[in-house]
Amino acid sequence: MKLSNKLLLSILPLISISLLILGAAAFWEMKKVEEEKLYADMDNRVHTVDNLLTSHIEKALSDIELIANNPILKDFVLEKDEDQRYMLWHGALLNVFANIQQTIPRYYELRIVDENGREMVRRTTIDIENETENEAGTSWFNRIKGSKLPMSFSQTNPDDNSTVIYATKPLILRDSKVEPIRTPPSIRGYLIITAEITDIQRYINDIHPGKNGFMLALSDSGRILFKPDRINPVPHVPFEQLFDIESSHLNIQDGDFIFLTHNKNGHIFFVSALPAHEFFAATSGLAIIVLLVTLGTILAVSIVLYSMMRKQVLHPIRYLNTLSRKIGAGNLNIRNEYKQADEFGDLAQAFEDMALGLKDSAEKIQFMAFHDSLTGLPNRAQFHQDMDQSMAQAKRTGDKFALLFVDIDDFKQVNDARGHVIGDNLLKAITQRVNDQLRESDRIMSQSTLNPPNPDNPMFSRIGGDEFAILLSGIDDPLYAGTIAQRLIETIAKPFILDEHEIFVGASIGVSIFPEDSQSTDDLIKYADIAMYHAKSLGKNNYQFYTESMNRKIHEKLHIESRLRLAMEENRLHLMFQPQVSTESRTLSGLEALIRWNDPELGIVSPEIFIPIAEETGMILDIGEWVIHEACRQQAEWISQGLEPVTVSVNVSGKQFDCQNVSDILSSAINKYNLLPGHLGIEITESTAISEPKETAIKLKEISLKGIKISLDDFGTGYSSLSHLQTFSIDVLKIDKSFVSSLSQGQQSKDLTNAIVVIAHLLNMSVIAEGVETQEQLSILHGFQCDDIQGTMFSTPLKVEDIPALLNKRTFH
Amino acid sequence: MAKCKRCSSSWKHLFLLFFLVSLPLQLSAATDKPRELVLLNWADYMDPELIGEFEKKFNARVLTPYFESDDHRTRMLAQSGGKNYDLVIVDTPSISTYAKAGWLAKIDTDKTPNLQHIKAEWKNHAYMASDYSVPFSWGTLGIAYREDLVSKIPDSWMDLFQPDETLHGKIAMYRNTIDLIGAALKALGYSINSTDPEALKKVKKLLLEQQPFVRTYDYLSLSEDSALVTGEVIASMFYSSDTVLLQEFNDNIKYVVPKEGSALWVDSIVVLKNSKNKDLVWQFIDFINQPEHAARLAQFIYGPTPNKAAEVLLPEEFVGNPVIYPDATTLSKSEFNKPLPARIIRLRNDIITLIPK
Repeated sequence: MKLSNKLLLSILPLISISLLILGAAAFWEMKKVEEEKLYADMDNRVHTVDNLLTSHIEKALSDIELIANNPILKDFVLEKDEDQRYMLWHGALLNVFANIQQTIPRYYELRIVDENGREMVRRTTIDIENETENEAGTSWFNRIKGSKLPMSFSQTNPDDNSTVIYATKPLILRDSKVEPIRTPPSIRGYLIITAEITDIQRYINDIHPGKNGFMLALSDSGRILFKPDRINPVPHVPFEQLFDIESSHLNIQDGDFIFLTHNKNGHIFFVSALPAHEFFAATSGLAIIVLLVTLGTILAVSIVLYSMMRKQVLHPIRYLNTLSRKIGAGNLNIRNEYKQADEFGDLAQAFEDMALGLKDSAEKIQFMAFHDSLTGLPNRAQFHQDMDQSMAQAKRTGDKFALLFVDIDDFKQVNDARGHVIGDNLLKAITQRVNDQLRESDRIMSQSTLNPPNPDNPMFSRIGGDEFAILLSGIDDPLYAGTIAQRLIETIAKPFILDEHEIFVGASIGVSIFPEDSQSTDDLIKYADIAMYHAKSLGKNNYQFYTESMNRKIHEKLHIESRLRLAMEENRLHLMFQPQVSTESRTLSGLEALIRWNDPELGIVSPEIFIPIAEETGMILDIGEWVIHEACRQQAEWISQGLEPVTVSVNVSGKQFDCQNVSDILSSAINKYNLLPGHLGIEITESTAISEPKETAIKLKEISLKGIKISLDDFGTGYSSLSHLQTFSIDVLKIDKSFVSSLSQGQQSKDLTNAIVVIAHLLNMSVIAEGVETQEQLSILHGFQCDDIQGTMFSTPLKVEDIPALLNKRTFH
Repeated sequence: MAKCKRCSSSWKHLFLLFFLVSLPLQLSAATDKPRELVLLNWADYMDPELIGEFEKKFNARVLTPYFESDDHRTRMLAQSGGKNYDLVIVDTPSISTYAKAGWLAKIDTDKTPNLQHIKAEWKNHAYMASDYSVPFSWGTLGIAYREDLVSKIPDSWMDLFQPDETLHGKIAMYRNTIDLIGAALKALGYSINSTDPEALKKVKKLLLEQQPFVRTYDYLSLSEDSALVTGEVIASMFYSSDTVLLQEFNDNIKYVVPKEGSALWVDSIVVLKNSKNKDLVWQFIDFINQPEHAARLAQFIYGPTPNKAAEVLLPEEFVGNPVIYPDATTLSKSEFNKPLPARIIRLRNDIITLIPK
């Protein structure tokens, strides 16, 4: 027998016996509750109908007081002359009665009889013949005759044989016109309300206690007044038995009934009866349910107990078994999932600790196999693995990467001259400096491009005695690798102080680029090596690309960079202005300031070439500030010539937002030249706005609050949604020229452009389209209600000296 | 007789209310102020120009609150115990009822010399009438109909009580204990003053059977938008003088006194015993009975005058209008209403209370 079964058999009988006892106790309790519920149901229903009748009676007794006070009624009763009574008062009194009956249709008969029972006035809502005009001998009149109090009773109306409620009130009056004041008032007649109670019959018909129960209404003599229509014939009810307190059983038509009696209203006895078999059927059903529930519980408890045994005892043993087998098979990467605070739990934790210890030693062995013990850098074997990984990833994402081979010049001589210890220390120091430089570059790079920082970038390995390899992945421009290489050369060239010796070494670097140079790892390594040797052959302490054109390009870039620096110093940059024109009125609405550079050596250099270089080197900060000041100075000059100014907008780079307080620069320029904020606008690109959305939004808000208009340049080239831009206090949206040029190419681009205009207007931005060249583009944009247009269709960028004429003329046709 | 004159609009109710509320103030006013005379009347049943002349001549102010039915008038008088009013226009049976209730003053013939012009037969047309009332106008009860819309002239009461299909939903009756039941009695061949309970049982049956075909039991309005003018109703139990009034709006409205005969009504002026301005009351009664004034009044209300000196002053076409002055045959078939015993009045009231409002 299994362990779990043994345990189960010893516990189960104990549980079963206690549950059976509990079940029996519950049954007696529930039986009591169920019977009380049925009793309450019977009681409720009969109570409701009794209350209904009681409220009718009370209402009639209060209404009769009001009616009896009617002055016309009093005049009618007190009028001695019969002719006068009927000529003057009878019609009016009938009118009063009619109004009452319209409000309370239940009072279908209103009457006054005189003190001798002779009827004086009667109004019925249904045209039933009056049985007799003289009520003197009737039983009900004998009942009220002489009484000075209002009364109510149930009655079989002799006129139509229905059971009704009578409310009567003696009319005790004194005729103040003819009788002396001391004469006591006397009974002059009786007012009688006859109220139908067919709703009682309806209630008794519709409502029944339980399933087969019924209700009856009996007069105080035991006659049945109301019964449900379905009970036929009229049952005989042993009336005296109703009041037998001892008995709750009643024998009606050979059936045994449980019953209740109510008589709050004082006139009619209501009986609620439920067949005895129905009354007890509920509890016998209950017994079966309780038995089933008890047995079900025993079964469920057994199943739960059994499964808990398995979970608590058998499952952990089996689990530990599996765990030890895994460790035996060499899988040290196990996690203990059995966290119970029992002996099994402790044992499982010990298993995990053991596996972790084993894993640590294995990892140390692994690390030593793939890393250089001196510098801690990955070794050649690891480098090859990393290369393969980077290659696979770059192929997937379409990114570029560069491979730099670094060879320390003259290391052998240092090693020979100073000894291996110094040599080893030198390598460690070089590793340190390169790592620092790479981290620094990585930081700069992640700032100046939109790529998120790559934690694995760059990968730096030692692949030989004095040879290192660096993998720069995720680079946009291969020339960037040149920049890094140059920095590394510069940092290594600085003197090292080791053991109080000043040591100078250099580095030669070879660069190969994926995918331009090759798409195979072996080739890239080979080419980087070749380029490195090429650098060495060119006199050491320099870097070379494997491809010659690359070397040329990097040279050009460096040249442009130095010329640009010179141009800044010699103030050789200047501005041109391109008009912006209102689509509707065809008048000048603004000018965009555009930077131009005419170098004596390089000729005209396009901003598309020199602005990225300026951004990379940080020169953009000085250039940007110069543009703002120059635009303001120019604007002030035009104003001083008496020309009517328009907003001049300048382009502000994202780098300026990162590193400068653009808002202050704008303010100081505006103040310096005495301009109004509206004279100056800025244009920022979409990528600037979304690179640091929160901070940018705050900075733009500050500028916007000063009254400087903000335009979003090149809209449509980035990824931002229009609604997202709403947070940026942008006044003007500039639709990129690529959208404009595609307007004539299809409905889809038209729809898109139209949608941009509509939504921008909804967001309270105005829209300007750039690069408008043809009449067709103009009319389409006009149709979209695009606010302004910029492009050669109206004007190319103009020289400063052409602007005054434009400011005077202002129109374009 | 019972008539709902040019019909009520709510501002008149307001006026009435205002009048009743402000009455004590006016009574206590100084004597050099105009004396006041309150005439309780049907609406628009007195020539305002004539009243204007009276007010000028006697430095008086005549207030004319109005009632909407005989029952309404009785209730107004009963509520005040016959006070607050000086003069009331009443139907014939009310004269003796009000007199017996002690509300009326006897007519002082010494102070009203012009009453000599009243024809003797009108002076004494009903029980207690000669002592307590002055006849004002008279006329017949009949059927007004739209000549252009009926398929046959409704010249019998039975045409209304048992209408053929063309009249279903297009007839109007007037809910009234005297004339509605009187007309039904005539239709069944009885006197309008019948005291036979069996006859009234038949009347009840006739009225209840007629009920589904009756458009309204309210007396039709006497304005331009009256249902008889618009054609919503094409035959109605109606009074002679009111018919002449409606004929001004539509030529197609005609009038017939049914061949079974009908009721003759007399409207009279009575004086309330509690009136505080008896002198002014006599001056007023005398003033409107000056022959020239009585003739003007007759033409204003389109009713024959009981004043023989005035009658000769009336134009030919007025006296010759058969609606206003019925011919001898019609008169011979018609009766005055007489006071009835209490049990009959009770039966009549019980019948009327079954007619829906």
